[in-house]
Amino acid sequence: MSGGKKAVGAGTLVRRLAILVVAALLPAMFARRRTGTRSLAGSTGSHGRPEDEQAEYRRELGSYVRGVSLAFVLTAIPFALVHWSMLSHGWLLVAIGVLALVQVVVHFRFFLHIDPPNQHTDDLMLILFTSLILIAMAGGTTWILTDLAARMH
Amino acid sequence: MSRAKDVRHPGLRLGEGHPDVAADAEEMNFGFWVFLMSDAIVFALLFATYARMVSSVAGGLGPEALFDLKSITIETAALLASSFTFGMASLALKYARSPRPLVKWLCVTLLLAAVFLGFELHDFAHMIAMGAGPSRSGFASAFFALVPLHGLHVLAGCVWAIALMAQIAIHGIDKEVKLGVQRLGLFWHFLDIVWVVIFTVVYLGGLA
Repeated sequence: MSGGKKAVGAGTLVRRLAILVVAALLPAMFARRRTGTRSLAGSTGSHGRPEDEQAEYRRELGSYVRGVSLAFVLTAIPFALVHWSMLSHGWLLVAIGVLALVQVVVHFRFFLHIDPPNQHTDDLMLILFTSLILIAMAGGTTWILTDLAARMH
Repeated sequence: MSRAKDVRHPGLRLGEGHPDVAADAEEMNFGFWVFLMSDAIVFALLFATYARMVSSVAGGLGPEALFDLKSITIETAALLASSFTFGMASLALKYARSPRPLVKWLCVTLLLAAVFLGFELHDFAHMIAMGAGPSRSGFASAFFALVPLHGLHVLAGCVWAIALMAQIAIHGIDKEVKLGVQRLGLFWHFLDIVWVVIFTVVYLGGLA
């Protein structure tokens, strides 16, 4: 267990990759089943024509499926990079950091439906203000603590 | 139905099919969004603390010896999948005319959350058994302040989901339930984002 990434055999690697692939496929399978059982819902819709609703449902379902697929890919890449130590330490940190940022944007876009051009201004202002506070506070904390730690040595 | 008009608050818009929530949805979701953003700052500061503390192991075991990538992979897959199944629950709320699909997807989400919490507890127990409990070092303190806080959030989300299902069982899908599912959706997807940063900074960053 403590051997970590270096001591794992090829069999374990394949098994882990298989788990990831199955996990990525599961949502898509569920989604297909869901589309099949849905036809009755549209016909009793309380607004608009059923086919409009059906189209909107497809669009929103597609958005969730795209979101989760992207999320799984953007997760599998950094796990693989770290597992097989594909890059030097510094580049590895840069790569997983960038991939995480991209994935956060994907989650905001596809799951939380934050869509800047069409977004309510208040929400967008709140997000931008929070990001500003977040960068100032987290960055400042790291800076001050690092400086203090350096002085201790 | 112009798109720009339709897109107002964060999260899935229930749209014209649900006139009962239209008046309150924007206000309630925005209020909850304010809470989430303040919660994000709490997490950000714990991340900053952890990033500083990660090398302060005080002669004890560090990330390399304590983290098990396999367990983290399963936890991550379960939580990502649960974010998707919660999206399906939101769509069921919006489009299905019976509570059945909504409850079904909420149950699937709860199941995935249980898998996540189970593996996470196992990880914590393993760390404590290896002698890296919260009081062992600066690294262990920062870890146990950050990661279990996220776990507690997930647990709170589960309790909330169960409460919503009880509400559905008693009152059916009324206005309160609709607003509740919308806000729990925001909460759930937000926790997934926090987890993305946790597996990157804490686990992958620690093992890199």
